[in-house]
Amino acid sequence: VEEKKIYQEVPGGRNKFHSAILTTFSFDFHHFEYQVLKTLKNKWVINVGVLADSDMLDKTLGTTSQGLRQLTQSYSVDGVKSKGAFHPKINFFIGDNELLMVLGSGNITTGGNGKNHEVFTGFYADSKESAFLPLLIETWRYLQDSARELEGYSKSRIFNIIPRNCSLLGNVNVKPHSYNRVDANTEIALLYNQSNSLFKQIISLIPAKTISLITIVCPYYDEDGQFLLQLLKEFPNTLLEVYIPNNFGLPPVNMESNSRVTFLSWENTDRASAKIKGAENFDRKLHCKIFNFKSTEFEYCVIGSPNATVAAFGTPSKAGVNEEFAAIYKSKKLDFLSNLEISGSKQRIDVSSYTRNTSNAAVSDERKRIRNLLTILACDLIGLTFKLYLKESLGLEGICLTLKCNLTQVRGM
Amino acid sequence: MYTAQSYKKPFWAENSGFITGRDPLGIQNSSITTYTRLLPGITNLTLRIRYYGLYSWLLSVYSKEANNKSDNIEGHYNYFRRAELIVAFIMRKKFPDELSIIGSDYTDKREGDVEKKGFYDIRQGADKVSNPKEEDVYWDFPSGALGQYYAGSLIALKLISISERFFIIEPEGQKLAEAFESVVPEEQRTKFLKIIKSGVLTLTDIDSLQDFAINQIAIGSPEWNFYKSMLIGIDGPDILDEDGVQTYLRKETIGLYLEYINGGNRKGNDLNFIESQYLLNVSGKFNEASFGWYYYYLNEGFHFALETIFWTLLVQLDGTEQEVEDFIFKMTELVADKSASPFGNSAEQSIAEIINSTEKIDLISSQTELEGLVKSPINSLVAIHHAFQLMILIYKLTQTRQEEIGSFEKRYKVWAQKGRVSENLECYVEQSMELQYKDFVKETIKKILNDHINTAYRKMGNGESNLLKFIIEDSIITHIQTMTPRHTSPRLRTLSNIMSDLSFVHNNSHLTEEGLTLLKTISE
Repeated sequence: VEEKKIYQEVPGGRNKFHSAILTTFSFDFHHFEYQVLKTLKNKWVINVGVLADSDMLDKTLGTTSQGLRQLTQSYSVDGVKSKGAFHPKINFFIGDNELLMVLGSGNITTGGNGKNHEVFTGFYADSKESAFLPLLIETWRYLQDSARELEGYSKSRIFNIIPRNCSLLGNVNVKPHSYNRVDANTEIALLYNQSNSLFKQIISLIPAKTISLITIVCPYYDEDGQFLLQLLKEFPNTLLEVYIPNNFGLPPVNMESNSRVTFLSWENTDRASAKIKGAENFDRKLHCKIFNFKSTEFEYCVIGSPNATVAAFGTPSKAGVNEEFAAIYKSKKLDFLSNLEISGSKQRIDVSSYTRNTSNAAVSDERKRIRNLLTILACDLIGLTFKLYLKESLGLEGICLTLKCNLTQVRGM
Repeated sequence: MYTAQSYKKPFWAENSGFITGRDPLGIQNSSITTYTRLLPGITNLTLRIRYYGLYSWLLSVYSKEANNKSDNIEGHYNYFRRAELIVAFIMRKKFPDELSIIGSDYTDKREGDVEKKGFYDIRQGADKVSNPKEEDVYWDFPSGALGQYYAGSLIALKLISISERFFIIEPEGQKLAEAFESVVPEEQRTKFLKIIKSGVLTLTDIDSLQDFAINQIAIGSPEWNFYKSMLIGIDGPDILDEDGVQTYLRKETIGLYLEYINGGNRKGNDLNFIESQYLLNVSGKFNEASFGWYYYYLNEGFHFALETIFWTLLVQLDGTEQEVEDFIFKMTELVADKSASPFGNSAEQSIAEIINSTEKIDLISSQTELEGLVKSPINSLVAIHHAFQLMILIYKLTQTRQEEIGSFEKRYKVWAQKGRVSENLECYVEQSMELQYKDFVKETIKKILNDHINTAYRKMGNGESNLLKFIIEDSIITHIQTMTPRHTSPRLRTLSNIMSDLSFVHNNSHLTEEGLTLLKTISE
C-alpha cells in the first residue's frame, strides 16, 4: 500500500518551489520547526506561511511553544477565525513555474504527519497547459480568501509577494466546484465552503440515484448521526457502510438504527494493522476522512478535511460552520478503497455500545469558539520596528502589552 | 517525489515510528561532563586497564612490521580484532570467572569448537569484513572493542591517535608498549603474533600464552609502574582548566576513593562514595575533586527531581487522553494541594516564603527516599511532591554557595552544559521567588513538558524516528512510553576494577600494602 512522507516527497532544488502556504487545524510548533521546516529548507522552500485555527493556536501558544528557534525568522504563523473550526489541511507549494498541492486529513503535527492514519493526495502543475492548473488556481483563491483578514507581512506574502513570483498564478478561468478532467477516466473537483454547503456541492457533483453504496471511514460523527441520515435521504438507493474506530473519536452513539446503515469495525480493516515502529502499544488513531460513493459506472471519492458531521458538510440548504477543504474524484478505473486497504473481513459493530470520547469534543465540531476581548491580528518585526495589528480599538483602558523575549530567540524588543 | 501522476493514488502518510532514548529532558550532559572531568582517561566501558597495554603493544608491533599506508583498513582492524579474540579465549580457558573480558559471550558459545576442529578458528570468529553474518563474529563494531570502547581513552591519554582511520602509536604509548613487552616473554609474543596471522589457536597455544591474561599485572613490574604513574599523573596533556593549567582531578579522585575504602566503607557502591564526598563538602570545600563530586551529587539530585516530575506526568497520563491545559491544571492542583504538600504550605504561599520556612533537612535522606519511591508507579503522586521538595531543598542548601558552584563550573568548563545545577537553580527556583507555589508547580510542569519535546526533536537530528514519550495532537496529550528516572554512571565501577587489577584494593573492601603506599603518595 502506498505510503509517503508528506514533506520528503516534495521535489527540491533551486528551480522548484520557493514558497509554501500551509493550512492546519492544530499546529505543533516543535514538530514543525524540527521536522517540517528543516525538510522544506533542504528543498529550497524558504518562504513559508502557516494558517492555523485561531483558537487552537491560542491554546498552543504559551503551553507548548517554549524554546522555539525559527519563529519570526524563517516562517510565520497566523490564526484564522471562522464560525466553527478552521479545519482545512492544505499544503500548497509555489515555484517560479510550478505549483503543487498536497491535501488531506493530517494537521501539521506529529500525528497528522503519519503517526495517525491520515490520507492525502497530490496535484501538480508545471505549465499553463496542465490539467491540474484550474484546480490549483481555485485552491490558491481559496487560500487568499482565507487570508483576507490577515495583516502585515503574512497578508502581503499571499496577496503580493507569492503571486509576483509565480508565472502560473495568473488569470485563469475557473469554475468553482466543477469537475476538471485530468485524464481519460478521471475528473476532480474541489469542495469548500462558499455560498453553498459542501453537502450541496456533493449533491450537484454526484448523480444521487445512481449510488448504491457509500463507504465512510472517519473518526468524528454527529451524536445522532444527522449527517448520515441526510446522506440516506439524498441518496435514496444507497446503503451506507461506516467504519468506526474503537477508543477514539466521536461515534454516532445515539443514531436510530436503520436497515440501510451498517457500522463496521475499523480495527478489522487491513490498514488498521499498520503499526508504528518502536511503540507496539501505541494506538495509531484513525484520523482520515474518506467518503466513497459507488455507482455501477463510477466511483466518487471525497478526500480531505471534513468529518461526517453537519458542522463540516452543512445541509442541502445551509452551509456548515466549519471551514473545510476536500477534493472529490470521479473515476471509472480507480479503486480507492482497495488501494487504501479499506479491506479485510467486515466486522459489524453495535455503535450504540461505543463511547464518545469527551476529550475529543474539545477539538471536534462540537466545541465552542473562544471569545477574545482583544485580538492581535499580526506582529511583524521589520528591522528595529515592531508593528502590531489589533483587530479594533475596543476602548478598553488599562491594557498593558508585554513582549516576552523568551518565547523565541527574538531579543531587544 | 510528487509528480503530475501523484493524483492517481491517494496515499497514507508515512511515519518512521518511535525509538527509545535516555535523558528525556536533555539535562544529563552536565553530569557526564562533570565525571568526565573528575575521572578522565577511563570510561564506563574501559573496564580492564591491561587492555591499554595490550593495544599499545599491538600497535607498536604493527607500526614496525607493516607499512600502514600500503595495508588496507580491513586488515588493520582485523589485526586488533583477532588479538582481542585470542585474549578472550585465553581468559575463557584460564580465568573463566574474570569479568569485563571483550568477546566473552562469543567464547562462551564457542568453547566447544576446539573439540570438533582441534583449534579455535580466530579468523572466522574475528574477521569482520570477510564475515557478513554479524552473529558469527565476536564483536560487531568494525574496529573491535578498541575502536568502539578503548580508543577514546587511549587518545585522551595521548597513547595513540587516529589518522585516516588507522590507529597510530604515540610516544607515550610506545613507552607503555615497551613496558608491556618487558613483562611478556619473547616466545609468547612471537607466538601470539603468529596466531594473529594464522588465525588458528590451539589449547596448547593457550597454555603457553598465559602472560597475555588481562588480570595478570605483576606488582612492581614496569607495566604496573606505568599504569600507576599514568593514573596519578596529569589528567591529560590537553585537559586544562580555564587558566590553561594542567589538572590532577583523577589523581585526587583516586586518593578520595582509596581513603573511602580505607575508612572501612565496605558498602563500596558508587552512590555511597559520592554521598561521602557530598558530606565532606557540606560546610566547605574539601579539595577540588571532592568538591567536584559534591557538585555532581547536587547536579544529579536536581536531575532526579526533574525526571521524577516527568515520570509522574507520564504515569498519570498512561491510559488516558486529556486536554493539555486540563492535564497541567489537574496535576498542578494535585501537587499544590496543601494536605499532600511535604512543606505543609498553602498553594498561595510564595516560593520565597516556602524557602525561608523550609528546614535544612538531610539531602541524602531526601534523595534516598525519592529513589525508593520511584520504584513503583503507585507512588508517583507521592514522589512528585518529594521531587518538588528536593528542588527547593537543594536551593536552600546551596543558597550561600552559588558562587563556589559557578566558579567550579567555569573552571572545569561545565558552564555551557544544559542542565547544570546553577542553571536549574536559577531558572526553576531563583526566577520563581515571587510566584505562588501553585504557579511555580504549573510553570515547572509546563517547562518540563516543553523541555522534553525540544530534547526529543533535537535528538532526532536528521532522522525521523521519534523520541517523544507523549504526543500532543489537537490539544490532546497522549501517552507513548513511561521513562523511570535514572542516574548517570560516573565511571566509579571502572575505577574500582582498575584499583583491583593493579592490586591496590583487595576484594573491594580494603587497601593492600601497595594501596596504602599509593594513598600516602597521593596525600603528600
